[in-house]
Amino acid sequence: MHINTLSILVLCLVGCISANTLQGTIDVKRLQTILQEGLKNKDVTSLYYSIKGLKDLKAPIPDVCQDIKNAKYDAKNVEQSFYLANAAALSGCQNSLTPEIMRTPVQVLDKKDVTIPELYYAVYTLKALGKGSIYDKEDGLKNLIQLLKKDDSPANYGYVFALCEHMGCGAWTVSHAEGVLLAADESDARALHFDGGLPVTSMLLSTITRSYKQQKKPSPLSEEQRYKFAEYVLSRRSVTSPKGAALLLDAATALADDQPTPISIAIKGKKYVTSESDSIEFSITDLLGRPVPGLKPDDVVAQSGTRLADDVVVLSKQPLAQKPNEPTTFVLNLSKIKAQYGLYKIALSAGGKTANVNIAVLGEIQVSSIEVGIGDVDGTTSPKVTTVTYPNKLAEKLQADHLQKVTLKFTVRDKWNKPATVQQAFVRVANGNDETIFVAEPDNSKAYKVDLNVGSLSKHVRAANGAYSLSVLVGDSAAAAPIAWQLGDIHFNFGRDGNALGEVLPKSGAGHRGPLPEIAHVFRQPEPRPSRVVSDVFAAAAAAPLLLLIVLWLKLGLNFSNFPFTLSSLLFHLSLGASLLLYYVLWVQLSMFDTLRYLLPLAGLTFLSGHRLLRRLVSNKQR
Amino acid sequence: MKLYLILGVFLCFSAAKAEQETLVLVDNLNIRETHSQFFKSLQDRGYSLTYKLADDANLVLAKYGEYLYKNLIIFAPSVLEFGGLIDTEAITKFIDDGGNLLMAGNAAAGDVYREIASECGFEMDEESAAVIDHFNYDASDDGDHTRIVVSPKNLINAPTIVGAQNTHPVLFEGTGLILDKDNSLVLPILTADSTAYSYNPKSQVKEYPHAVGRKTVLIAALQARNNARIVFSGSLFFFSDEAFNSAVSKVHGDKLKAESSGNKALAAHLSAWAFGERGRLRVRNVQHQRQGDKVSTNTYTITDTVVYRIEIEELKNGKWQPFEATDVQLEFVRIDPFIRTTLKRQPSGAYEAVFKVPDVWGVYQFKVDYDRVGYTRLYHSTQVSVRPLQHTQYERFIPSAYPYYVSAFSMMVGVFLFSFVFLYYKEETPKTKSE
Repeated sequence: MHINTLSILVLCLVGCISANTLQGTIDVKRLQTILQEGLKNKDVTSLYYSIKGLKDLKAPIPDVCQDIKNAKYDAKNVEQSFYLANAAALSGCQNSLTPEIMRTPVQVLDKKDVTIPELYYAVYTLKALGKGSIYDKEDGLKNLIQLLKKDDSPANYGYVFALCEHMGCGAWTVSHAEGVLLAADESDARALHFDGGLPVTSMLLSTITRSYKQQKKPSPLSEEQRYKFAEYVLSRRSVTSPKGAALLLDAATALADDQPTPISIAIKGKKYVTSESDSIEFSITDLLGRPVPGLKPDDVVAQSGTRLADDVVVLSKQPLAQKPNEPTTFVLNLSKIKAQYGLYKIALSAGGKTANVNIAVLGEIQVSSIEVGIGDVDGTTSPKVTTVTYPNKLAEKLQADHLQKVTLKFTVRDKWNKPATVQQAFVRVANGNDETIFVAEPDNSKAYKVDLNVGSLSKHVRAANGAYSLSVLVGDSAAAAPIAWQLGDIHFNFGRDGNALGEVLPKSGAGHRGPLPEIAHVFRQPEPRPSRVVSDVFAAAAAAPLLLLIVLWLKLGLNFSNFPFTLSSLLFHLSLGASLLLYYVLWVQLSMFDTLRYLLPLAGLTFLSGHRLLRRLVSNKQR
Repeated sequence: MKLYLILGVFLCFSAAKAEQETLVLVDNLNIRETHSQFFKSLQDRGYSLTYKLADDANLVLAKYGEYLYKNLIIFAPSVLEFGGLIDTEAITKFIDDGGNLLMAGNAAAGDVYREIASECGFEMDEESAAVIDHFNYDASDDGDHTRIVVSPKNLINAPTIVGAQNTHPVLFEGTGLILDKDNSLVLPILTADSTAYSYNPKSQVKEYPHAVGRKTVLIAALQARNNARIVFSGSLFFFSDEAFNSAVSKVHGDKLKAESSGNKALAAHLSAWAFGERGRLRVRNVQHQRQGDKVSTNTYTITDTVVYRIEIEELKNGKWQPFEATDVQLEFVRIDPFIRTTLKRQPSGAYEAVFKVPDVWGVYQFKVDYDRVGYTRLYHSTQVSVRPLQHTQYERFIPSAYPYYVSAFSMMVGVFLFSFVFLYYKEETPKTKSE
């Protein structure tokens, strides 16, 4: 007995410390569609990777010889030559290539300061073209090691390993692989990858596993490394380019084919049980979604099940049933715990690996009725209680003013009518777009209660009097369905500090955006003027005395015989007349300064000629 | 000459390039791969991204007083303290100097996030609190109901920021933000539904949650007064490839379903706005003159008719193009606005207003203050003086004054005639008597 509990405890500890399985697989179908799409792309890189990926998947490859023939590539670039030559070799279209393609790789091989990637591309281009190695094995390896000393990045090791495969120096690979694997970067203590990302990781994993297989040696990857690399590959499963897809597939295949393969345990379909469906399906596969080789159905056991809320162990050592016709699907029957809703942790072991999976047992919750009580804040009178049953609305329109409070009381029950507590028990008071939410609190008997003090509510809802809709929101992560119950309207009156509902309170100036109301300037009105007739009549009246004078003078008869016909007299009258005329012109158009300019000489002339005229007149009289 | 030209072109080029320099701070370099689609969309739009670990000891934002980056992305919720020379103060200064910031956290985000958020005018909920919505969670949720489906209706009504067509629901998993209602610069980009709240998903609600219902802001933005832009998302998951690619299917309620989430489009729009690709305005030219005049003046007389013309440009696809709107307003202000009128768009792209200067003289300003959600604040003012009428500018021939004119002129005519009578009149009768 003791030993048994202890072993469960140990198992649980193991499970808790490291969820040492994978939690997903790579969707090979999706990758295949990406690769097939990639074939349509005329770019040599994606053409090569698409063909390579499809070849790895053993999927049919359409005839691409024409595309290869027409492919545009940079003949000077050895990498592009590599892609084209290998695409042709993989699809069996070597005949579509021109001999031109040989030139660059050969040049690269003769180059003095050649780099390892260039060598790799050149050698493999030539290999694809059927021109075997031009390398002496020992010498070549020595040269490569020399080059590696200059730059020993993981990427270069990958190329050298790949070249070794070709040259047959697999033994060297085997002796160096473990060191390279140790140089992998770890992220989050969960995943391992090489500096350079997916291309480098993929190349190293595939060359290393291939070389070891060739040398018939057990895989150098430790179990932990295998899982961590698989974790990394999984994190990259959302690739979208053909290159990424082919590399991902390469790496995943290398890991999945390396026995014992990393196991993935994941929930298939729903992650919860309800009273209707009491089983959960798990899919237990390798990285590529294939059945795990050598996994007996008896090995798949739910080691323990713990309720998260109170750590009570609810099941132990329950075997899973393999679903007929689906070798990867295993079914766990949870009818034992379907009555106790909550979140559970299941420790599931398969082939010696344990994974912790969280599942939920969903229970139905219900609120059968609610008591809405309206009473005084000070509690002097007993509150008036209205009971509403689900899912009805309030029958009458309730009213509450600022001296009262509204109390809502309800009990959440599970399927067996037992009171239950839930995570969310809110009461929402809303008016149009404004809402206020209150949290209902359970008492000892798990009855939820919330007090809405109308007076203090006013500041939350901008003190707008009127009808507010009341609703109850009950939800829980273990509830099969949450409850949103519209209770109906209640009329709040906030007394003195209340506003009429719907009245928009003026916003503060700083917070305003958007067009402002237009402003037009009101011009001052001109003062009222008399009508034209009146002014004309008075103008005539003002002119009348002059006319009268002229008429009278004519009647009397005028005798100007004293008029001396001299220059001075003529000048005097002309200049005087001109001055007066100037005043008229001033009125019509001139400005004051212009007038003064003209007036000055005229005035001088008038003065001099007038003086002379008067002197003559006086001397004439005296004579 | 040629050298100068080349130098000029080079400067132009490097200036344009500096706009796109972006520093990405991440928890671990794996984020670069789990969020690759978002980063790729940025790179496709021409941003050069520099990835650094958030606790890298060599982090610097500025060198010799010059900023190395125009934009900063922080996708590092688990960082406890930034490395190198970056801290809350440095980031605040970066924003004060006009840098843009895109920041995403999650329920586990630490105090550094809270500090930066509060510097920007948001408040982030407590550690381990997540937005929970038992009514609107996605089928891919893990059981805590924290992976919520948010309807595009909950987006702010600002096409410049969120794009015009958001029809797909959005997936969100992370912490909630609370905004200060009085802060007019802060915008709630995406809010939760009435049924949501922000709390620790493992426990029952005992205290009142910090963010409840529609007050729970999921993504907030700020456009500072210097036009620096900040987008703060409570969810790093929102930007992930997983969220971009996954289908949406709501478990309860209206069972909202969509082939793909709207996260990708929304994230692209948000980043485009945050890094100033959209919603940037500038004034190109301002002209004002009396109607009929050719040249501008800075003095007007009361009741003149004035033509005011302003050319506004918007940055569209990297080019400055005439801005189109119907609500640009001009104010003619002497302490208070005397006239506020909506400018009319001319076929040439300029905005024009024709109005009469008020009959009150003083020092006025033509003011265009265009402050709309999602656009940079456009403020332009020109000072002019308005003076009263000159003495020559009053009315000359007032009909009601004709009696006065007539009497004055009759007086003058009278004087002229009387001068003859007075000087030369000769009495005849006495002479005949004496003769």
